[in-house]
Amino acid sequence: MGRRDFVFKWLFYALTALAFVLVQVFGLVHIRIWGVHPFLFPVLVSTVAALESAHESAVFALVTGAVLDVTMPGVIPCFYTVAFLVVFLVARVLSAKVLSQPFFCCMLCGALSIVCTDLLQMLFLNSSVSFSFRSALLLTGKELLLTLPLMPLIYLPDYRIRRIFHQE
Amino acid sequence: MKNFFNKTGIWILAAAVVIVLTLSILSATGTGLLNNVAGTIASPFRSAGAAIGNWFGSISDKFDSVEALQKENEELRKRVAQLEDANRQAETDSQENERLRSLLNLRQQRRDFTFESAKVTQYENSNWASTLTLNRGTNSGVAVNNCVVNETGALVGVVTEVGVNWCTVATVLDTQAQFGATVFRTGESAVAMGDLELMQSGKLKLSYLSGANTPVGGDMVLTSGLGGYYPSGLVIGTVEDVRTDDSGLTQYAVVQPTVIPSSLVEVFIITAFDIVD
Repeated sequence: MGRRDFVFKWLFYALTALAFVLVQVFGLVHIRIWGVHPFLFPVLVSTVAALESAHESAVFALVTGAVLDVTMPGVIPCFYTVAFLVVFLVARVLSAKVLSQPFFCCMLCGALSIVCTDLLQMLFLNSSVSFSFRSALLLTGKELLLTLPLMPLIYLPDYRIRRIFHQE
Repeated sequence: MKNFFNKTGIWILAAAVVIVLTLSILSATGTGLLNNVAGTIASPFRSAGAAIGNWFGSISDKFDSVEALQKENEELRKRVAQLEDANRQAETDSQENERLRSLLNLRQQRRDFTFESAKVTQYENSNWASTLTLNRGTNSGVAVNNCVVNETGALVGVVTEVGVNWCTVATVLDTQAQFGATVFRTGESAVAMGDLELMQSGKLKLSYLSGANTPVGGDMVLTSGLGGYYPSGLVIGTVEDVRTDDSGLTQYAVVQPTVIPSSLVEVFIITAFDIVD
């Protein structure tokens, strides 16, 4: 792949991620079912990590996490950077060792990315606030159920980008 | 993956550590420099996005049925009549209170607030917190711990982070939010705080109840103003239910807040207050 294609590929990935961030920030936060809304951010990272090479998707995860950390308040200042790095590692291990079929791999990685992010939320939140783990796990379950139907919507454009640039 | 760690992967992980450390150090003293700069740049975009979102919301409002609006109007007229009646009674009580205060040589009651109006530009993205981002910051005199209220004076939350032209508000539902509260009917002091389980149903917890004057459903909960940190008398919500905690030893009340944070468009930040009760 040439330098120009490489730049365009990541520009398209970035624009796709930006579109979904805007959908999350201005749309999905208002759609509450069982008091919870879908959460797309970790899925954006896990899908790219499952489809692309380790080095490139690691940088994507890092940059996405850092950008979200400086623009949106998290439970700790570097929450998304840490969480997305964990999501990246999980997605890479799964895509390299467990599932090679891209669609099912991305769905599994997406589901695990939500679980990993929420477990980290619990871990960091536990240091400052007392809460029952039952209600925290219930929240994770609800979030997962609501985000699952939206995962193919992230997979489709990302998979298309991958196919366009890796076929050339 | 082995290949990844052997080659440039180690540099990427090193970069991650640097980012984490930088973000942690910069945010160690209040609002971090990076957050402030990013928030300042993002604020106009957030405002634009919120304006577009509100425009779409207003379109859907236009599809409300005439019958529903007429019914609501009728109910509101009845409510206005009731409130006018209560207001007349309150005016008489107020005059009597003033006379008695002057007889007893007590200082006159006073509630002076300095408000700064603000628009909500962003709602919390995570399900683990309940925060709002507003389009006012230090250049409008906003500071951390300023209380935020809606147009009726009901408590929305408290400013937790402030930048040049933006600030973040932890709403009354947020797990990090805690307010000294008092039950209006009984005068009992307690602490109103966010709870992860109740947050999902849009409610909060009233803890540390003494047990002597147990609140009942419908009791109004206000800020107590104890310690002088936050103004007193701001409406937090109404008691919905009283429950016993998991230990079975203490009781807490479930409070339905007056404000619904996810539906707020404009709020008012109390930048200064002077209350004499």
